[in-house]
Amino acid sequence: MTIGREYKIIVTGTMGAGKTTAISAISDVVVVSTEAANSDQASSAKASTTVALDYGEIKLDGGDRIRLYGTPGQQRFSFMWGILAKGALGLILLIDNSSATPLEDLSRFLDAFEDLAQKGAVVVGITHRDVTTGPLMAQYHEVLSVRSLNLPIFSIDGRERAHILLMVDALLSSIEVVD
Amino acid sequence: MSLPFSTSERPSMNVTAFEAGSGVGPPQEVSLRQNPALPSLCQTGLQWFVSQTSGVTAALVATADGFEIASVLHQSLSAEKMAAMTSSILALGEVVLAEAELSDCQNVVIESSNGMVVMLAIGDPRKELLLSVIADRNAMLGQVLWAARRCCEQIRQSVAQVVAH
Repeated sequence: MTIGREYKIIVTGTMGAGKTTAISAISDVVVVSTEAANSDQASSAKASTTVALDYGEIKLDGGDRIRLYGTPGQQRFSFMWGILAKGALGLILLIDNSSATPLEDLSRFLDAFEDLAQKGAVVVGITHRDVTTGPLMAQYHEVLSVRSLNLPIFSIDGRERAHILLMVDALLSSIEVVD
Repeated sequence: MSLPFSTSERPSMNVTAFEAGSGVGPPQEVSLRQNPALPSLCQTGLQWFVSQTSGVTAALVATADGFEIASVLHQSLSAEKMAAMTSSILALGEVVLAEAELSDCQNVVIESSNGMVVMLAIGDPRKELLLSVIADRNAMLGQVLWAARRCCEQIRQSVAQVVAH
């Protein structure tokens, strides 16, 4: 048995998709978060927004740990994406179905994290599907197939621990298959 | 000098912000960013600060969530990116302080062999504004910090004026 392996996983995606919420839903330690008052109510009506990173951990059986790093969602913080993605094994990509352009958002993030996407080390979660109709799941799948990407897509509630853990499981399985 | 606000009036960081993903936030006070008088007031303060402080080549006022309010920058610099970085670095400063059982991040200094970047919380009552300063090798840290804090003080007074009207 190997002891104390650590996996680094990134949680990214659009502003208001629920990245901070998702990390706090599954972290076994107190989440480190960097929130500032959100002055951009036009983009999202939330009170605060992540401006540097979120950090959480999941303790696995056998002493292994998953370190979770959440990124800010807005393009102006994209310099943080590269910093946080360094050395990451995989990516959980959350897309807010209720945004004006969810399909384009998915494309944009797949471009930004192309290396991980090409490796198959990405799982996609579509959030807020209960809030607005938005695109069909088939349309999200279409965005992937156009790029010849075969990645799991889930329709999830970012507040549900079970949903996020399912995505983590799926990601770890994908990574093992890839390895 | 005393400010017309007490710091206790600042809304506390809302822990339920973690539920922001639900799309339901508490009612918002109007952000300073929406105040049309603010950019020009900040701009005046920045220009005076940059022109009066030896070695300072650029300065910018940003919101805590990384939007530019006003800037005096050379053309090659992106105000948008600098504003976002200022917000990230000061937020990181705050969590590092919390880890060290300290609080209230006032500034972060990044020194290099050929200059420095100083990022400061302006200290307005609602903690919405940040100042970023770029200086070359002719600058002295103590002088830059002193002048930058004066600039913050001036901007705080401007904010008090525009909020009062």
